[in-house]
Amino acid sequence: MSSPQPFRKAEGGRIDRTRDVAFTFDGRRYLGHPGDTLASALLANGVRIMGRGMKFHRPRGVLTAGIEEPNALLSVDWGAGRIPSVRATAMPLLEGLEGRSQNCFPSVNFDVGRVLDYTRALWPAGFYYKMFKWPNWHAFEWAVRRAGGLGRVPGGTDPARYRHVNGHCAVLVVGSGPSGLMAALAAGRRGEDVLLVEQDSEFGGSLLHDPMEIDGTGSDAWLAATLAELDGMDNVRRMANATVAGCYDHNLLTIHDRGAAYRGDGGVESFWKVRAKQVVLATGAFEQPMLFGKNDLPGVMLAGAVRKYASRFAVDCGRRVAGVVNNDSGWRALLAVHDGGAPVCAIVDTRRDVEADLLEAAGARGIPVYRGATPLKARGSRGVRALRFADGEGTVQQVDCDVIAMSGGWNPATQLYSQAGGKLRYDAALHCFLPDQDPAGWEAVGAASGSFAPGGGASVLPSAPAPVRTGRQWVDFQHDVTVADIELAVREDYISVEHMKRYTTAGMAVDQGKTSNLNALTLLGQLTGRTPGEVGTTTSRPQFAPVTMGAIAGNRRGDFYRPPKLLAAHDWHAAQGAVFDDYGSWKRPACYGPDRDAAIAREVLAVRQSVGLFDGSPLGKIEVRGPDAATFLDRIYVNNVPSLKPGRVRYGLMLNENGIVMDDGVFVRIAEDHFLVNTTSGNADRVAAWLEEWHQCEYFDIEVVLSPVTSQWAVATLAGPEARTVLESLPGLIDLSTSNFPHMRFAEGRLADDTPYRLQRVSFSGEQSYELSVPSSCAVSIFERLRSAADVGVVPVGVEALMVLRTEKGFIHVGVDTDGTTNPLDIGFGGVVARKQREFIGARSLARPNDQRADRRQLVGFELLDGDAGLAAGAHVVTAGNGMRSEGFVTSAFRSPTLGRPIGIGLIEGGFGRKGEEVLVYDAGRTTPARVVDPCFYDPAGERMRA
Amino acid sequence: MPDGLDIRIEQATDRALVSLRVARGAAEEAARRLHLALPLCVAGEDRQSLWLGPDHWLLASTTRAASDMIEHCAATLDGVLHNAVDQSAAFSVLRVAGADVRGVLASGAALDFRASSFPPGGCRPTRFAQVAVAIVATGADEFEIYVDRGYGKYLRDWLEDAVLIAE
Repeated sequence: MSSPQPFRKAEGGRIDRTRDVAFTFDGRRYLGHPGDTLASALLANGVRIMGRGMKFHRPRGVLTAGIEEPNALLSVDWGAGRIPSVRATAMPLLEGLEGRSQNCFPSVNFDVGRVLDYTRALWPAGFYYKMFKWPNWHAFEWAVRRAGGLGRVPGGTDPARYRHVNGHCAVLVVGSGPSGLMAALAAGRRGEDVLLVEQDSEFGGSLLHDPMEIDGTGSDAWLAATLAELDGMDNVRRMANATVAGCYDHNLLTIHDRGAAYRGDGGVESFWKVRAKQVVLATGAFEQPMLFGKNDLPGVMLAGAVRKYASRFAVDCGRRVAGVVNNDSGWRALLAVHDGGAPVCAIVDTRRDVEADLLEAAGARGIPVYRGATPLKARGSRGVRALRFADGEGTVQQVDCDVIAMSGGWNPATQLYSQAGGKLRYDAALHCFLPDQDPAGWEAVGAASGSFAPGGGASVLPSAPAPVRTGRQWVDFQHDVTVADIELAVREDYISVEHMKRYTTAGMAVDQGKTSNLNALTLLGQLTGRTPGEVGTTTSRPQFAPVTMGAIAGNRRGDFYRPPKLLAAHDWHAAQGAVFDDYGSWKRPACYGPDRDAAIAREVLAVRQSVGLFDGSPLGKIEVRGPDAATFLDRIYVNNVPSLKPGRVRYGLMLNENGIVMDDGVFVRIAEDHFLVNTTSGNADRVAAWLEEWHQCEYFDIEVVLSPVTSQWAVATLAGPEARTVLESLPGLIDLSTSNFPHMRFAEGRLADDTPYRLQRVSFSGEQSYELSVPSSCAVSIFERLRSAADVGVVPVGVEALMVLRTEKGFIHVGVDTDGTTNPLDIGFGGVVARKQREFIGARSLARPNDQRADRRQLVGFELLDGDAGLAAGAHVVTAGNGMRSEGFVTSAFRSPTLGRPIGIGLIEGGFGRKGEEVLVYDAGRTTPARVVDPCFYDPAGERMRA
Repeated sequence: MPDGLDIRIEQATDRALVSLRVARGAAEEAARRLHLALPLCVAGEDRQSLWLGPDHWLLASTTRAASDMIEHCAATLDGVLHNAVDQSAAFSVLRVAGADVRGVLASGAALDFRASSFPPGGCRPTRFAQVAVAIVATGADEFEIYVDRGYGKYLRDWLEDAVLIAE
């Protein structure tokens, strides 16, 4: 089953050599094994250039073996959909996976964008602030955006599925290295609810490539026993391929879980929101690069990564390895790599003092050692060919090699800890930032807390990196930030770490500086005479690692994006040919019939000439009951409430504290102590909350209880000269004659079939109109009975026709004909306000001189002088001779089927005093002459609705 | 749907509902007279009371008519300011049951659905899948979700989809 993988070792590693996994990279087919990552499989096949630098388009290879990878970012297709900028180092190798290099043209091996590297003098840090001043930045932006950036956003609809899950646990352990496993084991044994989350595909962390002795046994055996014990506990759950991505207030942590998706079979990505009482941070530490010339060449890698590829994936990163280190861990990694079969040809250590046992081990293996040395430069163009360095005596030397394994020390992965509000302190001996003040419920363990050798043993004592001017030295690989860029920032006085970060963009790439922040701020300190502790760190924010947009969206797509609220008679309307639109949260019939304009006109004329049937169920309905109900509502409404007699209906306006019109509708006095408040459909929930707030917070001594009943009642509105005739066909109703049941009356009872009903005679159309409420469960039967009741021909009417009908009558629609500045005086309710002597919400505000100005925008009607022109809502009203200054606008406008001409209403300055005046209506570049008229265009005396 | 996921979703259409709102100060007195538990749901053979707030219950019965319950409230709460209104048509009730029910419901709300925090008899007014609901644990692996009838179809579709994408 062996495949031609030239850099794969013959044995060892945690891969399954008995099976091949086929994948492609840039269209070429390769084989790897289960257990590989995409990066390890590519390295095994000898692929070293995996991407191009973001700014200079230099060839880049793998730097790391984990989530922190800045270079090997690929577009990846597998199963469903393409994901850009996937870390090849953290992507399990899946059958059929297709990887593509990014940010290169025509290919990753020859990229014309490299011209930016040869002209690099033109593009220093902050170049876009300096170079593109003329004519302006936007003239260049498209070209700069095209040249930079990494992956491309995939087009089309994402075929993959995603879901959200909420979780709760007593202890969330982040990371499953030895420390994390021990913490999970201890909490599990205490019987606590434990969630153990590992971003790798396997549990074990460093044990998977750096075995040690634990509890007197080998770590492989310990790992197997530990996982078996955890699996035996009902109170412990564990997730692999899951990254804890963010931490928010009160220990709410988010987890991006790809476990099921990677297993295939249509498994979905999950986005967990977990509330944890305690968090154990066992995230380990990130090894840091060394600074020397051309340290970005493919083949320059972190020493720990070279070791991980060798021991876990059985991959030699090269044939001849040179080490550049400043700490003991680098030595141990190099010795392990050497023992694994990839000869180490030199260890270049910047320290003079090195532990005797390390020197002995190197000597025993015949590895030349250079202490107190200075790495100068990697040589090569598309990959490392040699390392040049100055030895302890200052003599420049060169060794041939194809891998440079570097170790600049380790920095704990404290990103989540910082997000949680934890404070860090700089440790000079370890040259890193350690967790210092734990946030409530947090604890850092193992390497994440600076204990870099959990099994005991050698300490890590790195020195600070010492830059030498031998060509460009990369600090941030992903954003192409060099030592020179940081020097430039300092020369230009960007010496705060936050300023330096933004000026150079160091640490601002999608890896958030996991391998660059420490070097950048150390360098900034050296250049400004400060310690790293004095320089300080920048702030870590979610996400710790990129999360797919799909996972964040979860299933909130399509109909689940915004829950559609359906009428009880939805299907009945559909059967009548309804075209549904969104009105607030509801899906309601806009009109009935595919030709919208014709349908609306037909429906309007039906109401004017015979009878229409409208579904008014979303109308807000709130019962107010109690001895103080009238007093309470009298404070809520502008209108007089106590004078209303039981069984009667009155129109009312509600204002907010600023005196602005908030809602309108009728209210009913069912009984002395029992009212029914009708709100506009879109405001049903808001008004209910508004009444609760005033009752609970301000008028708590008022004795009422509030019961929203909107959904209980379906409302069938019959409107038109034949409305009464149709309604009378329902047996069991009261006597509907106008003498017994005139306009603005209410009745309730039961129909002959015992269906309870509420009936109010009110009109939003200007015609004789009845709103019949029955329980929503009876909606379909009542609509069907009314539609087929008489031989009149009842026409179903949608929302759009009602909007035309009410505009013909000059009835306002709050929120359409009013805005956040409209008070009741502006819409003609000055008389009502003046007559009410008692307090109501907003009354005081209406007493302000500004609210009473005569030149405020006031409600008027418009008719066009040129009858053929159109009138559009939103059009501005301007006056000849007054320039093009807007004096107000049209708020509702339609071509009236009843009148056969365009009509509109709107708000214009001093409108009440301008009836008859000619104005100009400006819309979309056209100016049309119009006349200001009364807003009521039809039956101004109201005889039809009282008939 | 993942193989073997044990969950069933069905519409419960068998009950009369009455929303009972009482004056704030009278809540304890009303609960005492009507034998309503605070704050959990009481599940009897033929009736339940869902606690929706400190002065608000939803009374459900599979045997009594809403009008009977309203009259019973009026008689029992004589002298206590209250409003009992028929809400039988205002809600859609979905019964979700099966061994995997808690895991699926955890997709919809931040509530802790673990049996230790949400045992049978518990009632939680909350936001689920973006809409307001009251969730009642009617058994170890059985829940009833009360939602505004306008969202009934949406919520059923949502739950069925949640089962499809569950693990």
